[in-house]
Amino acid sequence: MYAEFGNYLLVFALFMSIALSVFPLAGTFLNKMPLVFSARPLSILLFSSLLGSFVCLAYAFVIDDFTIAYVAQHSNSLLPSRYKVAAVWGAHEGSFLLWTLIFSGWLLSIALVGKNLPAKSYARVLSVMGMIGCGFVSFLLFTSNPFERTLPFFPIDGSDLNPLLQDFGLIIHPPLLYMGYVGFAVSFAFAISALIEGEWNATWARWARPWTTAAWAFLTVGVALGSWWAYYELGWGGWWFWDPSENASLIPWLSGTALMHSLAVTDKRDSFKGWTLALSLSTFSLSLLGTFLIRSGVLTSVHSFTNDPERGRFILIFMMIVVFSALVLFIFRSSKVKTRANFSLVSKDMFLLANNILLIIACFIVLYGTLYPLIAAFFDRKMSVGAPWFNMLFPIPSVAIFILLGVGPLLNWKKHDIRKLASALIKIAIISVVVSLLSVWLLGDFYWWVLGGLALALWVGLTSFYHLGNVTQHAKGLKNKLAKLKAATIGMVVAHVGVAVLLVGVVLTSYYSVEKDVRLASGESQTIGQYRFEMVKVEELRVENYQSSMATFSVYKNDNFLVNLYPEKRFYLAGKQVMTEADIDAGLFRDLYVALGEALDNSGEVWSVRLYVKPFVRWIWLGALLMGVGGGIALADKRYRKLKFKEAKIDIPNRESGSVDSSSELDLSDDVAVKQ
Amino acid sequence: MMKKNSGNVFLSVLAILLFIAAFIWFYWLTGQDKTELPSQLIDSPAPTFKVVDLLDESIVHTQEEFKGKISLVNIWASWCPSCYVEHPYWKEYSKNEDIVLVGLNYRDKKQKALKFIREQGDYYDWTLFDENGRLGIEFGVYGAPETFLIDREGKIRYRHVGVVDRKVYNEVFLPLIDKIKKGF
Amino acid sequence: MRQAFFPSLCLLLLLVFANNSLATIDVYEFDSPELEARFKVLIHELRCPKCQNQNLAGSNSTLSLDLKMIVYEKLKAGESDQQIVDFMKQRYGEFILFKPEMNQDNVFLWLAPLIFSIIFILVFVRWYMTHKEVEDD
Repeated sequence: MYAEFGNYLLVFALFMSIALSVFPLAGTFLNKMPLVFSARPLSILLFSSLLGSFVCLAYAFVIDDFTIAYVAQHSNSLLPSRYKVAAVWGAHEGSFLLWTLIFSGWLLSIALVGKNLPAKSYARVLSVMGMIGCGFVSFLLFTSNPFERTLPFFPIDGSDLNPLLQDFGLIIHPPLLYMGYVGFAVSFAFAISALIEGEWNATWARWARPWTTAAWAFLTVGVALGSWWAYYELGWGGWWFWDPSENASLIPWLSGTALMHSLAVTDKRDSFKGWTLALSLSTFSLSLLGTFLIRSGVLTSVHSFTNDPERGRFILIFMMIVVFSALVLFIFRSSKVKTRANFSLVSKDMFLLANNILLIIACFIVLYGTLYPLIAAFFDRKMSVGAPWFNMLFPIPSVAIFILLGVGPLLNWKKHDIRKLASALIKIAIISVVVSLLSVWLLGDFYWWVLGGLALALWVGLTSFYHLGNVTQHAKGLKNKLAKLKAATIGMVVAHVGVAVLLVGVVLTSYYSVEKDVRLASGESQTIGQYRFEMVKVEELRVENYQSSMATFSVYKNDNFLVNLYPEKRFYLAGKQVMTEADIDAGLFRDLYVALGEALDNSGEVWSVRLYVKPFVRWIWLGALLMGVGGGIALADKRYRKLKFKEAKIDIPNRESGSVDSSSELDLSDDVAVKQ
Repeated sequence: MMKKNSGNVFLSVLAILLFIAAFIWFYWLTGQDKTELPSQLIDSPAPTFKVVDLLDESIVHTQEEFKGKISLVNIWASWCPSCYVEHPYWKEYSKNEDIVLVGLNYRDKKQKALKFIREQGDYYDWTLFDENGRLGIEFGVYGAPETFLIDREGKIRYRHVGVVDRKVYNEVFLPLIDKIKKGF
Repeated sequence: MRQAFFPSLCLLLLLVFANNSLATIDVYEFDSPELEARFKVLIHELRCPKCQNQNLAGSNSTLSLDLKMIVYEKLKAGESDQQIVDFMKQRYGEFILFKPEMNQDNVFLWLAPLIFSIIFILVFVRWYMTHKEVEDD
């Protein structure tokens, strides 16, 4: 019964989203305030019904209800409970329910926190979100319903969750990633609302900024988690494959990074409005494009969900409606947005603008490379564009961005006299190059990319610290210095340092990783550099829902015992799948990675084994984590909490009399609030 | 940013046209079978080979045996579930006097392959035993079942991926076989 | 071509489920580190013809193992990278190349990012020059 209830909740959610799309917006055009104020309760109802629906599905998994097709396909009675819950989003239907739930969560947050917005803008933003929500819920209900039953013939036990997914990564990666993806719908909704209103100013930007930064931070961490998970799970030691599904998350991320920086300029300088608008619209559109490409089955990816042309077409049409509306609105309404080039060549504005251009170029490269095989398919060619192409082109705009990153934050808005800064910059540049040269000499083989990458990373890191010094130079003592720093500044520095850390990880691991595939018998060893890997023994075990051949490896560094590693070859009983579980000794400066291949003889004593020594690979994810944390810190800035809108005074409806007064005078002294 | 001038009108129109093109393109893509790989060997001679017969080890086949006849080369294996589905059809097609049916046992263990033939029936005129799969690679095989149509000059004319059911046989193979008979 | 889809899918599923995550680790002995390095690059740049977007290095399908062995044998026999790539392309088409060739067919692939960048930057520069409100020193 509860599954049907979950389904009815989805239907209810659909009605709520339709109501939310129509009523508040209609209220803004017809000037009927009760309609306008319906936005908040409708948002609460929408979120609640989706939450209820999600809980019903989770319950189905927890109690092993295999009369529900989705549960039967992706779960099993032997599945450990934590994975039963995570399995809710382990495949298409359930993960899309999670997606929609998270979307409604963002919607609810605006509804609850948006008290400082003018009532009509508030209503408009929520209506736009409602329209998008309507699309998502319809997609769920009509093409991807997780509550379909297997009755009357239901299986005794489920098909089990893919063993690759029976992992911690499944618990955290999709939720955080989705938080990012759909979070950009907020700035999208703001942009649409502003276009409808015909008003796009700095206050809007200030309002949209924290939401966008939050979404960006989530997406950053989500993408990083995906990379980390693939690294330790898939066993080939790589952390980025340029697979279409990875690209689908990187493309909106690049656009989102440009958006986030563009919003900063619009906020501070009341310029770049066209850019910010366009980026707001495009970032979420790119999120939708990514979803379409992955869930429609149009792109081949290891990460694809089961595809279905019907589903693909539904998302396609929905996406096209959203993008087309945005495009048309932009074309016809953005003339109201004035553009100004109120900055000189050497200014923070200019560097941020250059940064935007470069990020968009990078975004184009990833998008184009991902879509090109599809373009070729249209002309009857079946071809591939893979890592080699991306690795050749993507670094080009990236290098330019890193160079500018060192200078931009140090400049003033509008105009900066570079002569005063130049000497400091030159000194930092020299230090960067010298230290990199030293490092490369210490590391061993010489590679230009390592030299360049390290130098750029130092450049970015050192200039960030220099900036901190600059900002606090007039305060004496650590405590005073810290007091002088705003959250936004700290956040920015942390995030930029994160970029430097990531860059170090990328170049060092790419060039100095060592991989060896060897044949080892019990008792034999293999040496890589200072590390000796000795395969002590291999045992057979039975755990939870699988059987395992587990090897014990003793690792010695310079002949001193370091650690034991236990890679496994698992045979999952329910789905009869074989999987390799590598074991990693994670370290700040290197990872030691062991994976079992095949038993090469019948006794199980001789195995093919893969050994890796991967220097600095953790820096990649630490760097990304720092970026996300930096974003989080920047959000905490006091400036956002004190937002007040100075606009037309709108009176709250009088509960007793039921009358509403609205005046359109420009009252610059009052706050306007949506209080209910 | 967007002032009403001819440049911007042009860009707007361009944007909308691109948008419509993208929609049509994506829509078309959703209907495509992305797993299909077109053969590179169409209208090329069949690869050169010397491969032993499955049933009689003393017989060695070469590509010369394709000359002078129209051959259907069927890639099959005992580990391929669809091959079990497809195999009974070959009984019917073997009645066609115009063609020679050649089996290519791909990447299989001899015992299991012989068992397959014993239990499912032998409808091939002769069968190649490609144990290490190298001949399959020469043909550009990437799965089973696949079926190649080879003409009298030993040229590959068509490759079908998947089960050759009656519909495929009647609508695709027979017309082509006819065409070859007429000398094209 | 629904025909092709199902049996290939069966095969795909069979092989995917038979051996999931890790590339079957085969041990290849090389005489020189240069040869080994070339091998590693080649198996990363060649695509598994039947997998869902994997290279030969990361794939454990039988076909991938066979193709890897062919790459190994050809390297030992002294063939050049280009010869090996051509061999693969002749049998499986350009699909098998993760690194698109730099030829006439792919001119738009390699040049489009450059053209896009140039146009974008030029448009911006023109906008900036015509709208500038601030004097430079």
